[in-house]
Amino acid sequence: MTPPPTPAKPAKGSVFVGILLGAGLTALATIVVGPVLSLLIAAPNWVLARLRHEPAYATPLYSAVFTMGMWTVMAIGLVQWIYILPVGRHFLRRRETRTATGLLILALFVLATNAACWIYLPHALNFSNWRF
Amino acid sequence: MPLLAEDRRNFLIGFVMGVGLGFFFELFLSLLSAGLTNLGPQRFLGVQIVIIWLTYRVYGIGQWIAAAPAILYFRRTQRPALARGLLAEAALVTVGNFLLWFYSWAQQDSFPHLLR
Repeated sequence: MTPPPTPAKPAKGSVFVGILLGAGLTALATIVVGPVLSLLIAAPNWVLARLRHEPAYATPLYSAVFTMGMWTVMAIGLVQWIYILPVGRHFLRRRETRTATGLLILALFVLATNAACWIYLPHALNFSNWRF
Repeated sequence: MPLLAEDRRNFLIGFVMGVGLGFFFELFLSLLSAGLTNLGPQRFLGVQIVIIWLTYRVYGIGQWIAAAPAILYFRRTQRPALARGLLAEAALVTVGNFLLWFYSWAQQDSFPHLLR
């Protein structure tokens, strides 16, 4: 005798909420985390440089932090997975699969747009004419 | 999860959603404005000036075009904590925009310095 089929659990959450939440996290990552990270570590570095009578931008710490902030924006398609995966897992654990789906849709959209920028930018800026 | 903690969590989600809504609203309108320039530099100047005002100069007011329907939607679908989070974010941005205008007025300038 076969056991009676268990009724499928209804999917919880909302795709719309997931998409908007992903958009918010992406906005925070690009416009807040990069610059704030840069400022936080650049400020003491700037003071040290002033005390040594050196230009702040020439010190290794400054350039390292600036690079981190810059890449948070330029490689957002890859960097975003640092926060998308834990937040998505949080929703999956709560059985809010629709919200997790919305989050994934937004993340893939950002990844595709970021990739498109990387394909388009060399054409737009004509890197082949640049001298490094 | 206790109800209060659940409410707080949804408020936070609503707040972050508000940030995303505003960011993509502005991004979309900016792209629209750039697209209109592509169709002819002077052809849609009036529309572009309105877009620029809504997205940069009076963003604190312009953002309500996106925020208000979203808040109403979440209230109507019985998710008040999300609506409250969105409302808090939108109100904060409106106050921030007003403060920029105030700063600009204090500097005796016609437009906010930081947005120029």
